[in-house]
Formats: sequence, C-alpha cells, structure tokens
Amino acid sequence: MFRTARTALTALAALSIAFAAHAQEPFEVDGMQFGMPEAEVFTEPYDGPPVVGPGLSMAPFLSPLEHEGTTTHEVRIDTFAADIEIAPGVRFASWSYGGAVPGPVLHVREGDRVIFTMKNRSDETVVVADPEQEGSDFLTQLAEFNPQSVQEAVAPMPHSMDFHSGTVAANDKWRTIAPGESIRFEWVANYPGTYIYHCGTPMVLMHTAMGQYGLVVVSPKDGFPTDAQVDREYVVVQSEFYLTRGGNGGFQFDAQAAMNKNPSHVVFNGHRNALSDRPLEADVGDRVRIHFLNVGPSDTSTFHVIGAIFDVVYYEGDPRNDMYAMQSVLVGAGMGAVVEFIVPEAGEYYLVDHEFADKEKGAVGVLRAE
Amino acid sequence: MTARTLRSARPRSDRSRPTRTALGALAATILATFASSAFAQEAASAPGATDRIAIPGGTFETVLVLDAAEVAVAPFALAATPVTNAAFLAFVEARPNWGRDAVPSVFANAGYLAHWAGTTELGSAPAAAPDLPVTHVSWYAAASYCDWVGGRLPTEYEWEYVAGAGARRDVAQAVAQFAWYSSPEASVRPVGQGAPNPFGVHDLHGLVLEWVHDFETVLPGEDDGTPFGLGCGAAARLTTGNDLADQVALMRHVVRMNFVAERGSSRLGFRCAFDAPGNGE
Ligand SMILES: [Cu+2]
Repeated sequence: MFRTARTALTALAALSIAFAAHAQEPFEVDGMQFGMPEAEVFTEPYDGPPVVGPGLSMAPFLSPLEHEGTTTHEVRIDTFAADIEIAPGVRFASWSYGGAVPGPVLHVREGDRVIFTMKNRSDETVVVADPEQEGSDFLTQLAEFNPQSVQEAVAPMPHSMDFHSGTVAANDKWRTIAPGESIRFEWVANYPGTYIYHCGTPMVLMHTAMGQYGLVVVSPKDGFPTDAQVDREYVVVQSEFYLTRGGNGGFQFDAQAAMNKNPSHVVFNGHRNALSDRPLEADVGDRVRIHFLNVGPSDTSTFHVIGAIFDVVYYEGDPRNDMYAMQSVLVGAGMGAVVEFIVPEAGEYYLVDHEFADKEKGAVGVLRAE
Repeated sequence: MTARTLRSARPRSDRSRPTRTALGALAATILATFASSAFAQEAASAPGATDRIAIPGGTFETVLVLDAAEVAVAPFALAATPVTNAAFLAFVEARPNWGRDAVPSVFANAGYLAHWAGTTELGSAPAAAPDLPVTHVSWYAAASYCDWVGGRLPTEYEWEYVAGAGARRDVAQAVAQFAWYSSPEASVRPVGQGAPNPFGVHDLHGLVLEWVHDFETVLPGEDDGTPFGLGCGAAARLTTGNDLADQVALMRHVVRMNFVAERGSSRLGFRCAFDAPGNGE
C-alpha cells in the first residue's frame, strides 16, 4: 500500500518538475559561461568530513592551484553549528561553514567550474578539528592550529549558500534548505576576484553575524602582472561579531547591536588574537601579497599595514583594477582586495582596520619580518 | 535567565511537489489509511490527553504583509505542554506500526526517534529523558499521535495566536527570542517548567520548535519561483516594519517553512490541539 502511495507521489512530483523546471540552455559571452543546470535539493545519509575537495584551506593559508588551464572542482562545505572562541574568554555557538569562522578559503582559477554540495547538518553534532579526519587541507589545518578551540554545538536552522563568485539565478542556486537536506549546484568562475560567500537566509544579518561566510579566491587566468615577484601569499578575512553575555555563561547574538551596527568585536581570521598569537611571517625585502576580504556584515574596513605602503592594490582582486601607492584600501562589506607591499626592514608590521574603533575592537594582526 | 523564544514549524514534504492542495490531500489520505485501522479511542487514558487549556476565540495581528491584517481564530483547546518522550513511548507501545523499526520511510525517515535506545526503550541519552519534549519525530508521527489522543496538530494561526499572546510588539521579548535561536542548546529541560503564558500554556517559548498542522498553505516557498520567496533580497517585503519584533517574526516564518515532513530534528517537537474546548476528559 505504501509503495503504491509513494509511486503516486513520485508521479505527481515528476509532473510538477516538468512544469516548474526553468531549464536554461548554456551560452557563452566573451568566453564566459552562463546557464547552469538546475540546483538539486535532496537528502543523503552523509556523515563524513564536512569539508571535502581540493583548494580548500584555513585562513591565513591559501592552497596553491595544482592544475594548468581550467578544470572542474567538486567541493563540499557542510553547514552546522560550532561553539567557537573569537577573543580570549568569549565563546558562542556560531553557525559555521565547515566548523570554523570564517569558513574554508576556496581557491580556483578564472574559468574553472565548481560543483558544490552542502548538507545542512545544523541539527547534529559534527566532528571537526580531528587530526585523523581527511577530506581537505582546511580540516588538517584546523586540527593543527584550531585558533577558535572549536567544540560541537547544535542549532537547527534553515540555511543557504550564496557565492558572490558565481553568476546564477539566486532563487534557484542560493535557495534555503532545511536541517537534514542537502543541495548541489554548479557555478563557473567567470571573473577573477576576491569574493565572499555567505548564507542568504533571513534574517541574513543574523546568519552572517553568526558566522556563515568565507572567501573564494578566483585567480586570473593569465595571472597578476606581479606574480613572479611575490614571495609570500596570505589570506586575511575581517568580520564583525555582535555578542552579549548569555544566560549560560557564554555569549550570544545581540540583535539590537547588530541592527545598530555596533559590533562587540571586529577581528581578523575569526579571532582577536589569530594573527597575534601566530604572526604572518616574511623576510626583509619580500613582496607580500594579502588576499583581503571584509565580510562586514555591516561595516567598512580601511585596511592598512603600519609601516608599509601598498605597492599595488588589485581592487576586488581583478588585475584590471590596479591602483598604486595606497596607504590603505577602503573595502565595503562583502568586498575584497588583493594588496601587495614590500617588507622594508626587520620588525613587526601591524595589520589594522584604520577605522580605529574597529581596531580597538580587535581588528589587528601582526606580520613579523626577520 | 530563561530565553523566551517564539517558534513553530510547518512541514514541507518534498521540494519537487505538485500543487500544495493536491499533495496535502493525498498525504492526508495516506495518513488516514495508515492510521485508521489502529484507531481505538484511548484518549482518556493516554499521556498528553490531560492538561488541555481552553483557548477562547479571538483575532490577532499577523506578521506578514501578504496576509490579511487580522486573523480570526475559533475557540479550541491546546495542550499545556509539548508531548514528552514518556508520552510518545506510550503511543509507540500502543501502536507498534509507529515504532522506528516498523514505520514506512515515507512517514518517518532514518532519524526518527534515533535518540532512543530502542524501539520501545528510551534509554539513557540526555535527550531521551522521560520528561523532556520528544524530538526526532516526523510530522506524520506527530499528527498520528495527536489523532490517537483524540486531537490534532494546531494550525499555524492557532499556534501563533496563543504563542504571541501579549507579546507581538514586545521588542525586549524579540531580543530574547533571538537569543534562543543563537543558542538553543541552553533550552534543553523538562516540559512544564517556568511560568505559563497569559493563556496558561507552557513552553511555547524557549524550549523546542513545534510542528503545526498546516501543509504549506500559508506562505509560498521560494522554490515555487514566487516573488515572495524567502531569499536574501525578498525578505524585507514580508515584514510590516523594520523593528526587531518584525525580524524575529519573519524568522519564525522561515523556520516554519523549512522542515521536511518525514524528517524530525533534534530541537523539533510538538503539542496537540483539540477542536472542542475543554479541560481534559
Ligand atoms: Cu544561514
């Protein structure tokens, strides 16, 4: 009886798909590819590593591109709650991509295709920071460094994934999925850049402030003009947290502060001390490249390195957007930049948001040169 | 401090669904067929059948612009607390075809009652304590339980009418509701603790999400391609204002539309409603 019922449902569902599908024939403009297959929402028993695929690292690291030309990446980043520390003594149950905030850095090349899978595991506990766990460099690095002292948490919640690096119909690809559901969709990195990805589920301010964001680096297909001179390459992600003391000894989201754009913490790479406990390293004379993303969710960043001048800035990470001799670069919420500077002498170089209230709230890091 | 959080959940059967009414009717038919042979009226002795709160009818202000400004709710009765593990165990013992080893996957998937030690054994997992709200139950199982005790799941409007009593525009409470969403783990505790709301109902805030009856009847899903999909840019159109009370109300609607009917969740329980107002059998 139940088999019959299921069949009837399936037949009706198939009929519905025939009417509902917005099948888009692929087309090209100037070599860029548009028209992706329809997103697929499904359930799967998957309980494996939450971050799987090549080119996935934990900031400040950037995975090198191993391929020539363009390729297709199969990438999984699951979303689930994770109890994290974002400043000494300040822990909260974040909503994460992959178990840390920010989520994994994804590195692809202009023209690459990404087949992306995400399971909403927000109502289960997911193990991260396990040295035995394989799946991506991100998980290995998280287990080794774990600047946020990640612990398991549960917070069932619908979520979604919006890659700014993709050009697609958002109501299809970026759609919200329930706890226990998975989504799979494709996008092509048509433009080089330094792109945010984030959850787009209402209240989007809360979902991003709770930690659902990360960085996609789309390297230009012909490279940057300065590629040959670069000695060090790092990733710095700035983001705001809006926390207040909760009733159970920890911290929790402060909705009023978020609406008032009054963050309690503004940090680089997810922790006030992430780049102080473990400074970026360089040698005197090095040309250092930083892929910088300002997540926001609501505030700008005037990114500056004390004692250095940006020899070149590729605004939004596109080599055509070159600017020179910049003391700082102003980066809006959900924007990025590639900056390069020369290390003039041995010493410590502080990375700051030159909007000093944000710096005092934690937006500071160190590059140490010997 | 107890986080007080509005929350309810409305099931969704399948992304690739036919028209809502068609599927809703079909699902209801299947459910009735599945359950009817099992129906004896045991409501009087069943756990969860007692402690019903008579709710007088009335109207309330809805949170969605696309709804009418005021919604009328007829008199009904609502269980004072969510259904507990112990109560649901009694149901499974009485109706073995709702045991996790027997239920067809169209009605409850692999996660159904997974926190219990066995089909008819709660065991020692913290979430399986007898007086905690039962979770990991599908919409179908929840609906069938309520049928078993002579009731039904509350409608969305019934639930919201009671849960929002006196608090619709209370920004302080909205802030507290956000707190529950940002840390729901802090809420795991037995049912019935804390002060009742103005109707005398417990745990509508700050414990678990709850299934309601409505089968995708109120708010279209964004997968339908409607302009009211709950994507990043569309959400602002749905609220009547820009204050926190509206934002938290919107979150409830998002949560409401996003659970799969055959799948439960670790913070998703339910309570039953009853057509005839009364105070127990
Ligand atoms: Cu989200």
